[in-house]
Amino acid sequence: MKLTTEDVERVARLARLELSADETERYTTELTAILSFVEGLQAVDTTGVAPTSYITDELDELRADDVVQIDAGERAQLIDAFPVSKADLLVVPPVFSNYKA
Amino acid sequence: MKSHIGLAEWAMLLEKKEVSSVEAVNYFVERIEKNNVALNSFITVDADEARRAASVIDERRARGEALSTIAGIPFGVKDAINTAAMRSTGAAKILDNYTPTFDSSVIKKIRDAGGILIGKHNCDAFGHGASNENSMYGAARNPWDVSRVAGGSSGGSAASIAADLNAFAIGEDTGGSIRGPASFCGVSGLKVSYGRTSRYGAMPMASSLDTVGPFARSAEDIAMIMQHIAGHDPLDATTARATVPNYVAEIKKPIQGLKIGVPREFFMDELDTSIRMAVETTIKEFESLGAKIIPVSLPHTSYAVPTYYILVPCEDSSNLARLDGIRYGVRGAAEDLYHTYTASRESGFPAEVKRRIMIGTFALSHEHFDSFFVQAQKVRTIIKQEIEAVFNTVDVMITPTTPEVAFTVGDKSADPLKMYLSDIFLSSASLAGICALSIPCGLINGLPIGLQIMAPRLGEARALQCGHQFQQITSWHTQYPLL
Repeated sequence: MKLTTEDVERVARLARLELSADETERYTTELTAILSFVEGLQAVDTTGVAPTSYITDELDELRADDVVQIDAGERAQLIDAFPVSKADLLVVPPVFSNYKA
Repeated sequence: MKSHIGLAEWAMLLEKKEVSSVEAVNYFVERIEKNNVALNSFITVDADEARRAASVIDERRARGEALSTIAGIPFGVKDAINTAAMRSTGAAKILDNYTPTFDSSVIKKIRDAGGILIGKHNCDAFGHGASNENSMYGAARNPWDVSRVAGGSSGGSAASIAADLNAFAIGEDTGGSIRGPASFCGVSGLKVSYGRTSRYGAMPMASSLDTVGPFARSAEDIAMIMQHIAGHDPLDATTARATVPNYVAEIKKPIQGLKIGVPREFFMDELDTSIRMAVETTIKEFESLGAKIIPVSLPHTSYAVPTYYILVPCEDSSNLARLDGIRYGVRGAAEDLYHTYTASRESGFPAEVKRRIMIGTFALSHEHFDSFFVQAQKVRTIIKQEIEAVFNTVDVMITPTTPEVAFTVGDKSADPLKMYLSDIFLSSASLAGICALSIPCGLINGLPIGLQIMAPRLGEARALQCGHQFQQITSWHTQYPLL
């Protein structure tokens, strides 16, 4: 599996990572080596084998869809954890790039 | 005051009131102050809060209240596990300022039982690594030789037990993150079966493999902790409803007649000769205890690491999408939304985190989904069934924990693939969802060797029983590095 710098740039964009030219170069080499190694799995005959996505004997469990109140202190802590806030509100960047506040 | 003792002995001293919980906290805080600059085991320490919690326990004890066996005992937690009112960074700068409003379920259970949280341990960022060098707070160092790694990802936790900086530790093991560092630092560490303890509140890395488990001096100490943390949790739907055994009683039973499998694939040519010899010596010790040694084979062992390094990055890339600088953590400065995401993630993640996110994003993309992700899930099935089949003929399996002793800081950090191969003996148990204990079984040139005891899913009592019986006739678990 040989990746190109374009492959890495595309994957980085999808994952919301911004890479410098140097980083792109380095990750192209590293990811090519890693993917070539894990590609060795293609050699395993998995005909008729079911995939395992998780390991548990439990069945899906449902709970009542109840509103759970939190106290004022916890609410204040959550707001305090906002990276940027205005009064009690979380400030977020505009979703549409042509939007002017 | 007595020092360098395990959890069981601390519990006894506290119960007899020969020492108070505040004195225990002061003892460990002093040791942390003296050693943490060199070892970098802790990212955060809150001595005042620990003293306050300890004095509450001391007052309750003085009043004659019935307390749990771990009440008043200071412990630390891997920083990738959330703790209420104590900063939890996951060793990544994107959460540098993050203080959770809640305790993860395992920590809540321990605090409810009176355990005293003293601080947060260094680790590879979000658990990504086998050396602790991927921490954005610097590598945790090995107390046996500070030029060497503590192992990863729960390196600070293992080192803190080796250096006697707290009486026990809670870490997290997805593909060896408890067992690897336990081996490198010469302490006991248990990767629990998937679902035996709650994952709620542990920062999710690979949700189908993550487990939260303990480090301590001995198998007996670990049994004491397991008694408090194992069991079903309504906040984690994958936790098992199976009865929690009386671990502390189970481990005291002799292992006469127990069948111990030795999988041939774990003793390949590349295995360090001294480690091979140490494990062969432990096999003789187990025979002297009356166990039967049975050679077994796990032919797909060599596929465990590549399977792991497809599935885990896929789950990583999905889980880490939540870290975007919007609701909590550190937000990068940018004009628009896209660049707010990229700026937050650029400075907030170390290289290994970015690498895994990209591998996962790649393997989950439409063109590669079947040949990478689904194929790895199928090989996981084969590895799991192969292990289950061997457990139809033996009770436990023993192997070396790692193919080498702790390596020098910087030795492997330039080559991610070389680092991944450190997990060679560790990935199988994780993929199969079984439990595995690592205990010290020797020293080479002053560096510890780890023995891995694997037991079937929910068979923690069996693994701990073997470990405890071995520790009754050996003294590797009582050795401390000179600091």
